[in-house]
Amino acid sequence: MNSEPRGALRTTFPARPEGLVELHAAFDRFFADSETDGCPIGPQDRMAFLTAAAEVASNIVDHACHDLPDARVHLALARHSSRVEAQFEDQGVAWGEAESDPTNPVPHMGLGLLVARACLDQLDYERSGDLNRWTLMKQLSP
Amino acid sequence: MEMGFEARGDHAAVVSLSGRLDLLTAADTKNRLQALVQEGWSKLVVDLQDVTFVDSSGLGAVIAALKAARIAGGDFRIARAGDQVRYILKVSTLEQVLPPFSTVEEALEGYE
Repeated sequence: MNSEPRGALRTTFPARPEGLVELHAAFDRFFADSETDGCPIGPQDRMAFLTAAAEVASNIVDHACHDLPDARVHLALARHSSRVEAQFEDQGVAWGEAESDPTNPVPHMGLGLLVARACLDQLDYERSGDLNRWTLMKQLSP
Repeated sequence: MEMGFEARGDHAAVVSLSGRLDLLTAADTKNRLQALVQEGWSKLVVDLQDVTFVDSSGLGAVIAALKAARIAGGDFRIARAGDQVRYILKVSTLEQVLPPFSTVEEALEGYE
């Protein structure tokens, strides 16, 4: 993420399904702050951005950190004049190496990232040492 | 996830869900819907008016219930889906498999 954002939020949440409640709360605050700061994000862009972020977060919780119940996910959100960005960092298993839990009745790693890509203008993954980093970017509607 | 139930005939019923249907709630919701099918409620309409958010896990739960209902000789329909639910159905291309009905009554038509 580069250049000075007009709004930003950093938080962490537990890498467990319950952590998704905190994810949604963080996005609620981010969207509310954007309104307060006079840089509102339109409903369609909010929907796409949140849907994508929730999919990436679920992927981290259900795959990368599936066997790390005490792990935390770091989230950074930024609002620029024409785009919003999210960055997730975790220390779970590298993407592509994580095996779906065979006892999980709803394994949807493939569909989730497919949905995330469809919602965004950019979705990037990198592995740096023992750190996974997902970067999401959505251009804002005029 | 809260789930309401209303019988509408011999094997038809309306199930009302509320809250988020996502990784946290998908497995339990899927199990509860499949249990209804096993109990004989194979013609289901799920009212999504109070569902605020669905992710791919939630879609998986719904699709699994759809399959169970059809195997049982019935069907599974959704009604009153909100903007985000319609959005994820569209981007996942699942709206062709699970077209959302505008009202519960429209979804129930053909079940009698």
